[in-house]
Amino acid sequence: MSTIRIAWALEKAALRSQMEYRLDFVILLLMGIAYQSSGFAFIWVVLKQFNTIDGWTFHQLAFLYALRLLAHVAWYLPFNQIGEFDGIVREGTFDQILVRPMNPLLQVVTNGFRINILGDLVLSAALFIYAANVATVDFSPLHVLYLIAAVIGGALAEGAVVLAVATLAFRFLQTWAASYLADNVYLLFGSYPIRIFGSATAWLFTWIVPVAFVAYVPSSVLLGKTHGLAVSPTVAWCAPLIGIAWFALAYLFWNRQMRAYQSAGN
Amino acid sequence: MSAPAVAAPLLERTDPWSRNFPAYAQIVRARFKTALTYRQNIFLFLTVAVLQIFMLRKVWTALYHGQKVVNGLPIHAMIVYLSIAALQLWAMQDPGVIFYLHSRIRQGKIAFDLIRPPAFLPQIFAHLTGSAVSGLMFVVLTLPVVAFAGALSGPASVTAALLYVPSLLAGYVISMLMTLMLGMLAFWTLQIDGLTMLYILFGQFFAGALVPIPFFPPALRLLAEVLPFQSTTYLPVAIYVGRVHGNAAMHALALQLLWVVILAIAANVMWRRSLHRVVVQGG
Repeated sequence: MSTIRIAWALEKAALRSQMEYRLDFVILLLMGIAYQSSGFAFIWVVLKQFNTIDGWTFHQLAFLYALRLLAHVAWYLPFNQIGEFDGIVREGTFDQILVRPMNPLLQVVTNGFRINILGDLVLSAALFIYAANVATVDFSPLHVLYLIAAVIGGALAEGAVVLAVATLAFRFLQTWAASYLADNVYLLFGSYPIRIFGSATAWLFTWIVPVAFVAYVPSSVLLGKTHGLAVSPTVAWCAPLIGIAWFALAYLFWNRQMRAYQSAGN
Repeated sequence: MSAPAVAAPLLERTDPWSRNFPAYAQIVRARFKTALTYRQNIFLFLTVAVLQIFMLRKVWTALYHGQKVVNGLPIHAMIVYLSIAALQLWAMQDPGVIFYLHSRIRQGKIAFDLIRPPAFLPQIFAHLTGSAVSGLMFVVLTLPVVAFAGALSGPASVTAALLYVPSLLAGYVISMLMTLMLGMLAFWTLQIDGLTMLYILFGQFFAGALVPIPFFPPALRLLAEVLPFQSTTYLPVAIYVGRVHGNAAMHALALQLLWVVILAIAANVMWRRSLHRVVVQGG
């Protein structure tokens, strides 16, 4: 229990230190909003002319986009520092972390805070409120439970990739290229019905890199569009579990590599 | 010494261009070498650009949904448009020069750049040219991949090919002038990196790289037509794929020329104000 209290205190300190720079804070916030909303602006503009894409209306796509953003924020709000991990290894700071009596990953994660994620948070909340109102979703208790589970599962699915890339830092020291690539894959492909990218790409982004399970599959379930999915409705309902499974794998990978790093006499 | 007295000699430079040409050539060469050194980073950014081309191709194909032509643009021409527009914009929008300029200003080293024999604006222009040329080189190397991820084809006609070259050139100059002014903003505010990011996002959209201008909703379309961004990317590439031809193409070129003149004047005015600001602050 005290671990949680310590982690929370560290996180608050990290946030406070970042908010010292007022104008920077506002600008980073705006940048976060602008960056994430540009994808939505694109969808809005094209659907004014074309009305649907792969049978999805603008309102349904708005819901898909909002769900992806929600899952994205659910991961990055607590875990935005994992992207800095390769720097921590390079500078030798990780060795200090290993000596302390607290889970190393938790220490890395509470080390700082990226303010622009707060912009994403504002945008995702606003967008979700809008989308939930206009899309025809039946918010029955079962569906609401599934929604919450799907957001968590989606966060863990994206997080698994982020963590796996960060783990590469133990061997490669510089991982920003891989993490930049991974970020952009989710940003570019995560908010669309994955079918439109062709069967090969769709398969890749369903089973190899868990993009589809973050938002496309869950929103298909909530919007009653499971007939368009390449997976069975049962699998679709299990999307959160698939996210958890991916994250468990990534965490095992992280632990394995960390022990190897430690035993090498670091 | 009063501020105007210090600024005057810097503004009334009389060194002829020809005398300083070797210096500008050296700057272009140095930029090129920098690009080669950081080629891995550059290829990475190019990879993401190619992924975006692929995404746009699939999304637009799904949007067209079997229709052969929409808004005067056949589906194949649309994909060629998206592919070339993305490459063109990528080569133009290298933030490296802007960040270099900002860091020089922040560190105060800009003073050395200002008192050197070659005039300041041409120096920065040389940086931007070097960056543009190396950008083009990388684009050419990536063409085979782009042909696969998106679609590539030759110009729509001989006229299109002939008009594309001056249009592309004008687009580049317009983009460079805007980048120059964005760089000079650093003389006024330290919070420049965020503004740069916003400029890149806004510029990419209004250049028509994601959605060709004719597909914009009426209000946005009006805005896009009065801004210079469409002259950097949409107009040249639309000429290339034949969407804009004949009289419309000549009008497009004239519009681009107009923007070159307007922005050149604006950049000069901004430069004079910047110089006074630098001198007054004693930097």
